[in-house]
Amino acid sequence: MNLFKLAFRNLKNIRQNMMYLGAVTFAILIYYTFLAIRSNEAMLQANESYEKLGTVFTGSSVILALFSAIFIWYSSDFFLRRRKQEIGLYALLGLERQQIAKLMFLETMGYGIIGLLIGVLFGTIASKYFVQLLAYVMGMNIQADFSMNADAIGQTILVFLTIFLLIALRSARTIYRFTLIELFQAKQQVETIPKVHPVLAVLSVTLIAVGYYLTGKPLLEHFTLVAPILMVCIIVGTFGTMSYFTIFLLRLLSKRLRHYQGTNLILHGQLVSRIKSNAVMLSTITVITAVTLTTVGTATSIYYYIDQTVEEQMPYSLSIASQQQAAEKLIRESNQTIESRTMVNVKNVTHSLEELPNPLSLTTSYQTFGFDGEKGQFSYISYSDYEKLAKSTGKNVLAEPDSDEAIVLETFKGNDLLKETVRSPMGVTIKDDHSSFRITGATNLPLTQLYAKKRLAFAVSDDAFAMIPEQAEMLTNYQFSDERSDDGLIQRLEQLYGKQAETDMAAYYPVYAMTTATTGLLAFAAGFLGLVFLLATGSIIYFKMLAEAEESKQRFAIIQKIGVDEQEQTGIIRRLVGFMFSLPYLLGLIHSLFAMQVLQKLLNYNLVLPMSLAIGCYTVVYLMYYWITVRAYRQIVM
Amino acid sequence: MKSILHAEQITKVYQTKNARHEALHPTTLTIHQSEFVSIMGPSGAGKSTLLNLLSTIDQPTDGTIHINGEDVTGMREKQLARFRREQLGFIFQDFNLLDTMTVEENIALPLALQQLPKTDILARVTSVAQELGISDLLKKRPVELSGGQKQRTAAARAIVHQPSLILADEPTGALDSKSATGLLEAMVRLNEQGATILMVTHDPMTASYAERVLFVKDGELFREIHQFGTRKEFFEQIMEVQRELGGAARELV
Repeated sequence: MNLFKLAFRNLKNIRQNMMYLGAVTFAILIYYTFLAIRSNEAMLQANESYEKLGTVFTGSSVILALFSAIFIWYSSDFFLRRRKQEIGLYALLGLERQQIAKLMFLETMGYGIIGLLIGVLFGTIASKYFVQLLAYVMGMNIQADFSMNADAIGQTILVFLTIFLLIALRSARTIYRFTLIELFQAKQQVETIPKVHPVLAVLSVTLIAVGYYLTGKPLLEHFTLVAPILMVCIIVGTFGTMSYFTIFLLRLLSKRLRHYQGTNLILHGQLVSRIKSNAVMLSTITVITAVTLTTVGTATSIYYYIDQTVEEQMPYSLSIASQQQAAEKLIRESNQTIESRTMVNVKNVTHSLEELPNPLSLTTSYQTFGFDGEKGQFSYISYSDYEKLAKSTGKNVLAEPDSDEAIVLETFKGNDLLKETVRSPMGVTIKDDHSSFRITGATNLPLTQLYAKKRLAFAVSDDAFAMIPEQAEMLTNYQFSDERSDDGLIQRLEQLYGKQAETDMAAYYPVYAMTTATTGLLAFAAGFLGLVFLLATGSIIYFKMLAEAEESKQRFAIIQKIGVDEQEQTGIIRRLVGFMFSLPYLLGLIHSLFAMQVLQKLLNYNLVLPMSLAIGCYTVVYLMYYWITVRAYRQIVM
Repeated sequence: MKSILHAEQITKVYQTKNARHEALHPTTLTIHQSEFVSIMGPSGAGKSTLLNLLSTIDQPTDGTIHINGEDVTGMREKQLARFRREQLGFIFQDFNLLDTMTVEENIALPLALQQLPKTDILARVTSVAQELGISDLLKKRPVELSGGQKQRTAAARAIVHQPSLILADEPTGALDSKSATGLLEAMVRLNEQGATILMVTHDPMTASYAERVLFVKDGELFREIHQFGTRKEFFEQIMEVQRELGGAARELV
């Protein structure tokens, strides 16, 4: 029998190697599916911006490739460990090391090829449905079909053959490195008991605490400086915590009274003996979990708030600054019905501001408005127009200011730079060449959505408004009954305005469509990656625990003889596996909650609901993994 | 004298699709309180089968076993586990200590499983360790111990909960002769203090420490001898029976 035949026979022993093949196939399936989605013909044709968004996909596919490599590495490690004795047997039967290495290489490649075939086949099917899902979240309507993609296949083969080559080299190295006796004793590793380093343990936890503290005020004030420090604190702290603090904690646990109760003795011993070799895996998984939860949470949140984001940017269906009649005629001819129309006369004045009302305290905004002594452009409207606008948008109407007073308005919604209530009188003045106004009130009331740059506006008394020498400009804001659809009206309007389209009109729909497409794609990519990370981390713990189970077989045989019944053994397994799953999950979750709390401040949305959704999904899948792992562990040791 | 173990007509038959192997023919035996009994026989004679049945790790095909008055053949898995942890103590050839725990924790395990208070457990462990001369090893791990020390730890674990019956399966099998003697002397001392011990071995020297030796051959109890004189005389007696056994085996060839 030659090596090829032997390798083939081993490959056919598929039941034994099912998990490994499954892991390999899964990684390939995911990677190929992702590539196939990127280069889907139907998507490319339906949306020209789709291609421009390619960077999102390219970045994600690099991450995926790296991830697949780590994932396959872990699972093949388990696979190899399981087979060390078999390899030893080959050596004992007189196979040369070179031949064994060749055999392992052929087997690895064999599984690779099977994995590639199945992965690409199922990937083709999966990608159709994923494309449809993507189209749905991007707000597009397309019909995807099953199609093989040569580029995607080529790239998948290239990436995975490289990975398999590395794995095969590693297997071969293992064979050369170990002596025969070591191969036979693969499962008899001596468990060393880790030393306790209380200082390092406390230091690690302190680092995390410092990181958490930094996510508060310091991060918001000096983002670029604090962000990298914070990341280092959290990551180093996490690795330290998993390596030192867990040992510290477990040792502490074994000093407690409950240590000598029931199966705790066995459990603690097992945990302590494994914690050192698991520390790196646990910290890696913690970090990945934190990143995944944050990414998915962010994407979900952004997607969840698309409507609100666009609404803030574009509070009206359409704002125009000229050709009012021609535009109105086009609107009336379209399918849109006008729900409301408000017209405002605006005078734009360039001047400087001396002081600011108290609520405008965010430093970053000063520059936006040109407040640092520079001159800026400000819009003025009359109190009558203000009243009209406030009524049409359902806002409280503030009392009319005196001739030397003004109400400050924001020309956009959103960041709430202005608090609705101003403690009046403010005693703060704005000055220009002609006059000065005391600010007595503030409100968030968008004048128009035309101005590309956010600026402040003021409502002054009708008399004061008349006194301002600048030419008034009439702006019209329309609210349509169905602003989220378009029958070509926007295009016709753009034709009407020609070159002036950019300055004289601003419509809701194009912004809405573009935002939905980009955030949809982002959310999709984040969700996809999140899913992959989740499955991969779950699988890594799964494989690691099963490798541990193989090594613990004898221990369970002993306690069985001593009289630990099945129920108690299951209890030990549950707690062992539960510890491995919950530790990185909980710490990662806390990390991500701190990250999300920063995001919540930056976006100024309430992220509780979308975050809970993301965390909920994550938790359910994690629980399923836990359950499957407990079952498999039991099957091995009991 | 009170009987600790009574097996009545127990058999073990391994039945596969096309083969039937009777590993143990109907066997009846009784062990009394504070007895030190040894079961001897060549490999494949059915020693281990018998011990597995008596130690409730395996179920007999037929017959009943009473330990300390309780019928263990009718018990369910959970009951059996509870019974084993409370009534039986085990010493195995390959020690079967848990490498993840200290000597102290290993010895404490049977008591911990019975949910005793920590102070009682530690007091008991200390006294047992002293009895077996391993007091200064309590904080060590099994990997740091010699074979003899490991086996004494295992013995300590077997007696710490004062079981009705101690079962030893080739306890000296992995020990050098000096450690073996030390362990056996310790077992004799335990026996003198009232422990009931059932030991399986194929080594006549080891068996001679018992008060009574049962010989098993081809799945049957073949002979039983008692110690009346010195250990040395008993050893000679055992050797004689063994020669007979061996001769019988040779006659068959």
